[in-house]
Amino acid sequence: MDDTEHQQQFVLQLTECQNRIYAYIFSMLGDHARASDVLQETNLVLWQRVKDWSLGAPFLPWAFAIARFQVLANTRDRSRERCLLDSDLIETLSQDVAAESSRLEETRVALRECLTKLTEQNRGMIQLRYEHGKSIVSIAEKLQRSEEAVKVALLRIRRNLHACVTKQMTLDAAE
Amino acid sequence: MSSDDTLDKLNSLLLAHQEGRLSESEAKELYSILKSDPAARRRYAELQVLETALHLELMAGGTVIQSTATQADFKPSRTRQWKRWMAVSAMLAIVASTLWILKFSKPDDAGSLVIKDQERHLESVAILADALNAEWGEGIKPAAGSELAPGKYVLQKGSVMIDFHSSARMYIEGPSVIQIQSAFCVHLDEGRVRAHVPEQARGFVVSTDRLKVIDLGTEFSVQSTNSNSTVQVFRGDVQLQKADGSPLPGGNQTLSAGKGLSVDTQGNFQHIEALPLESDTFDRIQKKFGQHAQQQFQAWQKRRADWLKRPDVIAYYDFQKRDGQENQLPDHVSSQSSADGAIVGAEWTTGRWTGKTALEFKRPGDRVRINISGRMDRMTLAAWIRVDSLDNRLQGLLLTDGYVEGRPHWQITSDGSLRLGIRLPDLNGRLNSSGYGTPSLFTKDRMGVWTFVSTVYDSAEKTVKHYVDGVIVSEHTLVFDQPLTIGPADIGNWGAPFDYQQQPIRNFNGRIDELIILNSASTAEDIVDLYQSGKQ
Repeated sequence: MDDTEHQQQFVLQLTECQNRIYAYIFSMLGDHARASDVLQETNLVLWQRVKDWSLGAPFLPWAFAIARFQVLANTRDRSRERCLLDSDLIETLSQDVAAESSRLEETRVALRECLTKLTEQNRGMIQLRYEHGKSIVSIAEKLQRSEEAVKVALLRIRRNLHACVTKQMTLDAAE
Repeated sequence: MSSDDTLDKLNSLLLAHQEGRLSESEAKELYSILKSDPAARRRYAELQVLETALHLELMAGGTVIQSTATQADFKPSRTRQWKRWMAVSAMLAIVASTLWILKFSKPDDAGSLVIKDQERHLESVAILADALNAEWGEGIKPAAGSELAPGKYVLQKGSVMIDFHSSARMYIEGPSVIQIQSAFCVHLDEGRVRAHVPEQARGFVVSTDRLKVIDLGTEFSVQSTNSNSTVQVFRGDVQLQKADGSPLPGGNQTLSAGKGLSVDTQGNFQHIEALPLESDTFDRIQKKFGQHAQQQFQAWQKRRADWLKRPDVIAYYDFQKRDGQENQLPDHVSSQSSADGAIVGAEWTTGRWTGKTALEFKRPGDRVRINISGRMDRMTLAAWIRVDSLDNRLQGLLLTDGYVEGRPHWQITSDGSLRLGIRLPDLNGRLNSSGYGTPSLFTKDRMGVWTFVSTVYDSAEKTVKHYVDGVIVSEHTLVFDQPLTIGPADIGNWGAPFDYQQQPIRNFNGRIDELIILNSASTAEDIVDLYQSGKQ
């Protein structure tokens, strides 16, 4: 096997899969800063183990397996902080999270469509939350509404987006 | 739970977690839902991936690595824009993913969180390990040894050392204003901090209005004024971002040892050299705290000598362990040998400073037995104590045996008040007692904090006064003026009357490192003086 070709393919696969690997990690940790760190660690380990991956073999399942290991290590190291999932749950959820993460790009395409269907008001709130990273308290202040109202609104928007995206992905797949 | 309900429940729990508000019981609820219901697991995965998608779609700047799925074709194609990557060495992929992360990272939730008002945060995330001439401004005024919850802290003067639960250690020089956001994150409004972050706390963040510094296992300082923010790295590396999480101009976001960066209000960045290690080392700051403790201990030793010369000192227990005398607590003053304390169970430990020892009272039987004879019309009891918990109905500081007329009980109640109880002469054969107590003093904030307590009994003036840290907290009129006797007594516990069916547990839970008994009524000035010369 040509070493250069192997390396090049590895690079291609790694960069192609970044977002999906990130989705897997974030789904387990629920924290973007931590997920970024663990992604970096995962990338390093993947590179260190490049020889374990054969040209033409499925890349994502292998990457997910390494990512899971790093997530478990991170959860163990941060045991003092309350983690979203403990190691037990991480193992239990691994399959579902892997399956869903591998569909990240489909989700994004569907989401783009669904975002256009949001009302102006809801779109604004989503932007505050995701584009500007504002907390509920902060959004409430900005929009001059109660925290409870903001929380309820966010939950409702997320629920509706979930429904829309699920439906949209079914439609997309059929085409 | 119906499928819709499960989804709503998960949605709600995940939102709570993002806000940093997921409670213990909610975490348990999440656990049981996910553990038991396969459908719930699928919903969870969907919600989290959707969350990732929202994050990717809307984050300012998006990602460096554009997925080929921007066209609705999900199969990677070799002939597309990835061709340029094929020529790149594998190490560049690591660099690329690092850049991707840096551009991708947004301020973590804590970083963009508005500080909530104090009542909401019950959980502490750090300890105020040490304070040197610290003066606090508006808001919380923590004492050395107390637990710190997330919130704003205004240090007007002096220096403090904070140990975060993440194991990061931070030195702050006043005047400074900080906002502690979690065990891993501090926002510096203004002033100067120095962080020492061991490997276990990697990822610790110090942010200012202009800059975000992410630790990679280092020692660094951050300074923030009205006109600029400066970061200097002394050991290791840090990652830098703008305050909003977007990358700095110029590409490389990592700062290594010996380097620094300054940002002004216009957003102009300037690379600088960090001050040489010697002029601002972690060790030097640590030494400053150590020297201060040493000075305090030496000053205490000198004071102790002065105290022993006073004529009104009935007993003075210095709680210093001496070789060959491990189970004795001599009183150094009285000619009565019975005034010497016999230690039962209580163990030697550290006191207010290095070099100063204390006795720790923990088990129900722990005590120091003493016997001091003599009647006193006036009495002052003063001690340096550290209450660790209030488990019993009453925590004895100095309790005379049994419940005898004219023999005092000096103690702390379960609701944290300092109390002097005295049995009065029986009238008509009925047991009468009087108790003089302060409002609740030993609250959660005071657990683990060295405190100076003193009580002054004056039968001539007919008053009982309680002082805490040199300040009077309550004054009472005596119900019945009688002289007091100590006789056989326990420090830190109670020898209950023989006719009690069950021995109630009255042991002190904490440490004592100095106890003075005077047969005079100390003035307020005396008490302040005593406090000032003994505080940390």
